[in-house]
Amino acid sequence: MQGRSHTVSKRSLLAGLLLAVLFVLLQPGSTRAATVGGSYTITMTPSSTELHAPPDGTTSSSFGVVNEGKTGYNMTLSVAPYRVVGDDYNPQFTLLPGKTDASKWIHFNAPSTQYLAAGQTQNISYTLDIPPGTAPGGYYAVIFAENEPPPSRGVISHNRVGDILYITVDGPVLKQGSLLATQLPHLFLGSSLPLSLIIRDTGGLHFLTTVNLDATSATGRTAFQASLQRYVLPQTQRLVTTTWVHVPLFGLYKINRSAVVAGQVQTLPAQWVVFIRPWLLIPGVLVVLGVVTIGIKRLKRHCLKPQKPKNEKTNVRH
Amino acid sequence: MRWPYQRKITIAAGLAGMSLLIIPAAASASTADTTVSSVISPVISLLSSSGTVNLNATPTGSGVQTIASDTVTVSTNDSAGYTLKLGETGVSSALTSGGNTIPAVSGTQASPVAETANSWGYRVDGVGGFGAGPTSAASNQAIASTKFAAIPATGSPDTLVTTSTTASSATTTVWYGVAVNTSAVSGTYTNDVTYTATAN
Repeated sequence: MQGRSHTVSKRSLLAGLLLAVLFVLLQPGSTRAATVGGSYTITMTPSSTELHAPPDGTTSSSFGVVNEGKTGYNMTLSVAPYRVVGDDYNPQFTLLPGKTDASKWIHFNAPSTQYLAAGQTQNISYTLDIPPGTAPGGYYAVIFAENEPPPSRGVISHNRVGDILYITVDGPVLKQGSLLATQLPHLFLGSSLPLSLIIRDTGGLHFLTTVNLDATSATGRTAFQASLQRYVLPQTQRLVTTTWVHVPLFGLYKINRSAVVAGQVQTLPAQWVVFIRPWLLIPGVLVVLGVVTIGIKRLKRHCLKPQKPKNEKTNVRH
Repeated sequence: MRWPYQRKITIAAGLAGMSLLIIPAAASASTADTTVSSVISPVISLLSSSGTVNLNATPTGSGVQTIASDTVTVSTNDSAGYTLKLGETGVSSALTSGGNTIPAVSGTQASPVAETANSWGYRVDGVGGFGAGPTSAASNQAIASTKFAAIPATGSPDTLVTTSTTASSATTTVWYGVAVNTSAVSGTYTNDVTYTATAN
């Protein structure tokens, strides 16, 4: 009886352990839910929208705001100008003097402040009204959705997410751009190579560019390939970068860079790069050092060896 | 005896002919293309760990410092990544309690400074001129040389993070610090800050 109860308790223990393991394995999903529930979260979709309308025209669109948390809050909608600074496209939400403020063209078809219950998704429609006489081209704004945390003390954080509006005012507009090469090394000793290029929009309208970066070996085998899509705003240039991680230990590779610029494929001249890791050079350096050392030693021995006169040699023979 | 065979052959040939007529139709039906399209909308989400960071301090004559953190989490399926910024929600950069204030430090993200008594600020390890850190939480400790910056105005927020690919629950730890001495008037001080996440 004792042995049997021992077996039963062993089985119970095993079953318990299995349940515990299952419980632990099932945890990540519920952990995330708990984390989300313990804080204020705000989600917006889409995060960017393309809009088109003629001057004096109107168009409409919508976005969704989701409260994935477990606490309801008041959500506030606002619109701000959108522009970028620098090659790295640092976003700015202020208007440059003398520029048209496209954020004033957006009108929400819902109250700008509303309560968003836990787990609720709110779809909000809006209208874009282009003023008459607006010059054709690209204009930019961002719609913000922001949660209003309850009054508290200390540092109170508001969370704000944006839907960037790429607005095209229809009409004749120059669409053009170019590619600029960034410098690539001819010899690379590292393990991750940054690959990049600059796309310049010299026209009056934004475009969505597709950048293709790849590396092929001397035999034509593709060792790396990346395709990236980015918006480029008019009269700006954008640095598009990716990283080729874990480059080959040794080899010669051709880097090809191209992009679709304002609807036209443009290609930069290919560049060859030699890859080698510094530690691979060590055996070679050692061999060279060894050869040089042996050579020097032999030379020294040869120089130091006393040269016997010819007559002395003759005497020895006799 | 031959006639029935001929009839059978005729019927078989007829059936074969019919099948030939039917098969192409059936074949063309089976190769009709069906395009399944699915548009995955770009989404961006932002959450901060608590909504409130408490910087409680019990001042001394020489001054004490309290440092606490907020964790900001961003997720986006936008392949261009995201940019996370931090700025003031309102016009004041000071911690305010009624008519009393604790002003922000004089430092900026590019040139942060160590806090002096009766000042407050933020820092993110490894960003701008803050240095690598790591920053640790502190409560009523002697004022350290850890560098802080003032939270910029709403219109010109500081960039905390910028990425170039999709992000799944990418976290950024933002540290807030306050240094006070006994000249700071007691009270409950607050300041509202805004984290902004946009797709790149």
